[in-house]
Amino acid sequence: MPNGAITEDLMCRKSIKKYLAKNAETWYDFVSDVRGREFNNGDIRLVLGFDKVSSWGIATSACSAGERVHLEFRNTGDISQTYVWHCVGNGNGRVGPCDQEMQGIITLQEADRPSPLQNQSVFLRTLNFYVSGECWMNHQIRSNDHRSDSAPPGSHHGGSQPGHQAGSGAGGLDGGDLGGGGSYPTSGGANFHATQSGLSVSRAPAVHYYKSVY
Amino acid sequence: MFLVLKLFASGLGSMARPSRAEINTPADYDIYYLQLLAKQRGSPMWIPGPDMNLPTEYRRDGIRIGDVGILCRSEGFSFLFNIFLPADHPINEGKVPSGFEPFEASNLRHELKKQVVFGPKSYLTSASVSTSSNMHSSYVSGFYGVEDVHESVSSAV
Repeated sequence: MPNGAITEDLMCRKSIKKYLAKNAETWYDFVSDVRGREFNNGDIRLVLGFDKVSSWGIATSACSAGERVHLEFRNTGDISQTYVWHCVGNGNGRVGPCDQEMQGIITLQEADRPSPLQNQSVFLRTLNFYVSGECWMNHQIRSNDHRSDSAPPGSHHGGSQPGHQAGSGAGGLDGGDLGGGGSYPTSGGANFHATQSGLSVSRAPAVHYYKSVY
Repeated sequence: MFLVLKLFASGLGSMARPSRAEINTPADYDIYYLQLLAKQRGSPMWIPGPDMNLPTEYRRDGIRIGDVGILCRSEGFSFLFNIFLPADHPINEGKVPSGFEPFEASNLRHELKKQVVFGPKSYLTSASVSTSSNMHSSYVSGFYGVEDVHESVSSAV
């Protein structure tokens, strides 16, 4: 987080939970039937807090016995205060936001600043809510009239079904219990270099290929 | 997009298909999510930026308090509507259920906490990363090596 983060949280949750309990079933029906989205019970969240940044670098690595990975978040040294991941070994680094994301949403004056907008959320704190077992069953029966499979293809929501509650309402406040995913192949080490004015990528010693998630 | 293709092309010669070890390795977004969830700051976002198809007004701030959406490890947050904004607000227009009534937010203004928890050049890493930050041009450098375990993962933001 080169420019730091701003943290915001809504502290008063009681009245929000009441509002949720009143509306959750309608929302589930709406999101499924009108918006046409596929999801599991508990996938719909209400945001109550976040950590937002204007620029970020994210790196992951996975290695087996005996391997060693070196990841370095390095300043490119120019005046634009841009960073790049240098990866040696099986690491993968990304930086953002890319120029394309900011196009059309920043003013000309803002474009001159090194970090114009804090619109990138690196952590989200959400209120997770479920609808009752009966409501969810009805919802699924209705949904199955339109599709033959109950597991949404390509939705990347694997894993466990959340437990059903006695009535619709709010669950715990955390960010956890997100479904797992389909499996993308992991990429080799790569350097990613994003600036506020452009994105460039250069090859690293161990580059194999990169599967984009953008 | 162009740059992604360029990288693909550069890799094809040396690697026609992923090796068995690579297929068994967890996806990057799973590694990231699970490792940084332990920091107890909520859901770590693999895609921090807002959906580029949303209105400019939304994208300038990004995800906001009161947003209802579907959260997914790989695809990020998919915005549906905001409970504090009226149905005809540009951000909510055409996106809310019929009969939608926004939450009365006037009482909540004083309940919003805003802080700086992470100052400039701060970072978070999973426990398996050993970091150093005294290098000339970088502010975080992570070394990761395993000797005894079969496979392990790490991540940083």
